[in-house]
Amino acid sequence: MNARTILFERHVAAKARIVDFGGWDMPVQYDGIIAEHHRVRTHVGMFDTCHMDAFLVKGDLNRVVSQDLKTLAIGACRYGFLLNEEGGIIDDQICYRLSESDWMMVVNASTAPSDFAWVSRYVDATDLRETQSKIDVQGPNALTEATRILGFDLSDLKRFRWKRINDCLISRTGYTGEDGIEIYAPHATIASLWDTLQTNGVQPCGLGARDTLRLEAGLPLYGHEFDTTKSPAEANTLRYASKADDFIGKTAMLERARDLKEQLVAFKLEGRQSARNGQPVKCGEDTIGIVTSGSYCPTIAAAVGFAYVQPSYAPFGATFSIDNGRTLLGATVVEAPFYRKK
Amino acid sequence: MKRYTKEHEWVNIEGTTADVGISHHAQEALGDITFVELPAVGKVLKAGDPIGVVESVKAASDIYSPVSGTVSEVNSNLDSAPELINQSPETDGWICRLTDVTAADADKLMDEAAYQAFLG
Repeated sequence: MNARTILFERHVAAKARIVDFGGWDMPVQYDGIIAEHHRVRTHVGMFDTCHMDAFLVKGDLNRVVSQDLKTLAIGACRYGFLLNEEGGIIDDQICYRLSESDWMMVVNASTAPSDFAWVSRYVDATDLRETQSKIDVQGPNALTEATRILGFDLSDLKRFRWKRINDCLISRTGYTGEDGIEIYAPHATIASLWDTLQTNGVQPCGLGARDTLRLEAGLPLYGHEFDTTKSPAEANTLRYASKADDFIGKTAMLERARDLKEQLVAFKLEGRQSARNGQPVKCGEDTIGIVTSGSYCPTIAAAVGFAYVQPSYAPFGATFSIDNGRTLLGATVVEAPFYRKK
Repeated sequence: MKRYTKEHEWVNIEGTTADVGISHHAQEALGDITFVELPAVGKVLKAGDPIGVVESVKAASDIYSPVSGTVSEVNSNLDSAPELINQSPETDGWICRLTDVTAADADKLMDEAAYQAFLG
């Protein structure tokens, strides 16, 4: 049976549609993906992200993660990767600096067990799954609504910073391309915050909207744009893996960057019809790549996506076709993000 | 005479013409519809032939013709407003009109009561 978050019964009571996501029963939508998407872009919405995991880590993480931790202040957090020796992406994660030598590493749901095993080879790690949950409150009004409803003083909380309020750790981060916060707290606190937010008008949003929001904002998703066969070089994310001195996979990653076989691109389709994960990218008869994500995105009102293509097709303005099994969809390489908040 | 298929299309037959669309249940299951691939006018179809594709945010679904006939008209409003299928799947959200329809084709399909029973 699939795992369920502390909020599962609430999703069922709210008549959310439940789907399997990486071994978890999660809400894909409540009243509709497009309505939920617009709500986050224009006002505020909240997400159950309890399926994600976090580890408390003690010690020297510098060899294990790709982001530069030496320049990370206590009270800040930074995005990066866990790479294997070949430079392949084990996961993407965010490290929060809790003290001089204590960290919280936040990872994806499906990769959490293998991440934990990997990290534990090098440092002392504690899985917080049994004690901690997380929700995201996202949207241009996320901070003001969290302040109004929960009484949180977030006036001093800058982007990629965190602070503690009561038994919560709150960071100004998210996965929607909007302003917002992520709240980490004990299970019972998270359930109570969710109820209070909902009673006071913050509506829940499902993973469907989370996916269109992240795609529109040009944010990659593990299992789609990232997996162990890709390094940050192919994934166009070297900026999250270049500043640190040395870490596992760095040498291999830089080697791969010198001789790229494929490259991640953002593309826009000519019409409203979407390309989907796994569809081949064609140029004439030749298959020159594969789609990793694709959807119609509501704010930009266009069908967009990500694909890995041969490097000669990667420059902005390059064109190719995507074969959906029925028709060839015309696509152009564009600069990500597709949407940038005002 | 309105009939439904097990694949959740509806067909409304009047004489030798028929309007075709997807049911309320189908649009609800698909979620927000973002694109509709319409058939070409003049296309000759047998019952069960694909007539188009309805795409939602998450997935694409083929639509099949409930009866045999020839496509005489398509609902081109769906090009710019595919959400019409969500709003009124069995009226303004119709997909295409067929001519040369044989009413006997409807015998294999479900009436409203049978379709509701099929949905359970």
